[in-house]
Amino acid sequence: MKKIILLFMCFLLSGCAEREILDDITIVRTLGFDKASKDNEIKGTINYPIFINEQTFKMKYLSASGETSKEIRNELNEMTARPLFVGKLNTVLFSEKLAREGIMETLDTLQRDPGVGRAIYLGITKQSAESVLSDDYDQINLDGNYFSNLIKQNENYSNLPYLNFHTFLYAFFADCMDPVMPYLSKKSNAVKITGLALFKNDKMVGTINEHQILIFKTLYQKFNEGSYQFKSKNYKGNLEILKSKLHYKIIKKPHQKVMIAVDVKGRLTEYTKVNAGDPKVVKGIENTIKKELENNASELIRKFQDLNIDPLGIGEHVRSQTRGFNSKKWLDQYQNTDIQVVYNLKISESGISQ
Amino acid sequence: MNLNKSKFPPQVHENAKIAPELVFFLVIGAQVGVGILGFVRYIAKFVNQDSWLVVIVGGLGIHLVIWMMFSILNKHGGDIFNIHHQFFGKWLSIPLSMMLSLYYLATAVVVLRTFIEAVQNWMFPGLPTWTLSLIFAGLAYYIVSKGFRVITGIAFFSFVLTVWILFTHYFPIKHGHVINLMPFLDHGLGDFYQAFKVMVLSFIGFEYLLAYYPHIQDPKKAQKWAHFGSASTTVIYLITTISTLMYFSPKQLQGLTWPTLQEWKIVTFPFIERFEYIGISFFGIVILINLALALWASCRGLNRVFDIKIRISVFPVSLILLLAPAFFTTRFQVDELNNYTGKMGYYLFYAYIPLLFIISIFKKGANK
Repeated sequence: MKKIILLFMCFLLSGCAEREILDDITIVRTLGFDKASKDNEIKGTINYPIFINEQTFKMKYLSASGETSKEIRNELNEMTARPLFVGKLNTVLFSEKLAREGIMETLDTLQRDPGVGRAIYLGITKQSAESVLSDDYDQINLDGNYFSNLIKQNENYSNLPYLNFHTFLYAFFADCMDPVMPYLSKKSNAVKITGLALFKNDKMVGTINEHQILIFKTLYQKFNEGSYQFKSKNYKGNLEILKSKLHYKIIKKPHQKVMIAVDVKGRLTEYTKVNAGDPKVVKGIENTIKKELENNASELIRKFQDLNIDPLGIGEHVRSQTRGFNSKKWLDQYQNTDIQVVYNLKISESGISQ
Repeated sequence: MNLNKSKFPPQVHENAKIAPELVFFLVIGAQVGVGILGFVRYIAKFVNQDSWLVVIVGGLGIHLVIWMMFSILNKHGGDIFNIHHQFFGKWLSIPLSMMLSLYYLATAVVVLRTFIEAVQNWMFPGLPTWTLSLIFAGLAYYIVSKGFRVITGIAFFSFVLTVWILFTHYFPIKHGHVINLMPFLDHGLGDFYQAFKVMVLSFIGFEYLLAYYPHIQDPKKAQKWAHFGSASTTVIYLITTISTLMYFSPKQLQGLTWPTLQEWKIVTFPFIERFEYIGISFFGIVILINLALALWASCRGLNRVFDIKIRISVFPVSLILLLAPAFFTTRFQVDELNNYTGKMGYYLFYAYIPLLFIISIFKKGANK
């Protein structure tokens, strides 16, 4: 009798919660937001697969406008045959135009949704997000992972720093740090990461170009893979970075002089006009690259100070090393703080040939 | 009704007793509950990067209370209900024992309501409160009605089945920032005291020992296992605190209701994109032992004072557990419920038990 009751309860309770079966829902993979033609309205674009049979599917896109992202969602829902679900969302793109006016309202809605992960990628597009999402890029966007894989592989194997939804929120809520996002631009048959978009709070205020991304990464975090293109009067070449690590030193307290020391280990993978087998020559190249890196880094930090933003989180590092840190005072003085960057470069190898 | 039952030390049949080592699982199983999903935010509100220190000091404080509990119980034998009778006489002991019984039940309600809230927010927004409380109150009823040894078995399994969750902290620590743990000791004593008070809620659970002490074979040997259990809880909390502090920036942390669940959002495996759903589900096992033990301790109080068999009293008491969560509907109310229980725990540990301890020093022992 007991067993029968238990069995009965299983049937009774399994109907309680809402079910979400894969074939019956619209799986949103990418979201894009633009400024709509009407004032105060934003336009949302979703990108989702339609399954034709078990193996093949096609990416489709849809757009709708509304004042809030929930309104957009409702509008879109009224256009799709199956309800929208964002559980497999992997990228959210914003057009530069919208980003310059602020995006936190939209992000906050996503942040509150328990269905949205934190490992998803965010990006700013130079063109409208709709035009970026509507293209299938000669069929490479077929699985709906194109944008996220683009960013992911560049973070892991190239110069792009590790950025995602979580890092954006982390920096946004931190007292002395401002967020950054990858800056994407549509080319004829692909999307290219052309730099980083810089934010002040939730408003985009500027960009850095693709040559500065690596410098940014060395100042932002430690990492194991990247490559740097260098050039001098006598030679040019490429330094593959094998290891990069940074430390902060506060030289003069309170908050007046900060030194960032970066240890870089790398190898030369491309160079012209010199004999890289000669240790003396390598030493010379080391010095040249070091100077170049330091100049570029100082220029970058100057730019941040001029914009009065701190995407590197220098203030957070200073806080961790200062007792009784006063964030207001730091922010007031930030533009006049002397920030020095020192690179300790070590070239260990020069490829597999002498 | 025999109101004099608690006058005598309880008689527990040898077959109903548990080995002293198992107290480890009972202590850790009862202490680690839903609190772990959110406690860091509450202590970080006061001391931010020094939160880990509060966890350690809070853990040490609990060791002191455990030591006092064992000294009282070892000296006077029996359980807390018998000790009430010995110290305060028959009539005063009844309300005291009943308050303790009620407190035990309240801890169960807190755990169940908080867990249901997490499920409703993260997994099934439309789920009525009663469905989950029916499942959990029903399971707790089933376990408790089968006796104390079954509860111990559940405690063991709940530990073994869920201890691996601790390793998921690897991911937030990997993505974390060590600078968030510095500078050391940058807060005033007042802030530390506030945080310490809040921390007590997370350590609630070992005080069921006051009720199940007579069920331990050779209870004096169990003391080191109780300490060991509480120390392990402290380590678990310490890892949670450090990973949470490293992963979130301070203001971001203050905006989150369940930081630990948020941390799981970054945990992805090739076969499972979103770990938090697995995490919440496994927490069902973690809270089951919380509920069963609290329910048993509460019924044990009724048994010792009014001589009602646990098998009989467990039904109405688990009915209360089933119905009570439905009365707390908003986040604010659930928060208040947690606050009050935390405060009750604080006064129980740091006022009432020390008071009993002082009385016990001056009272002659029972089995001399």
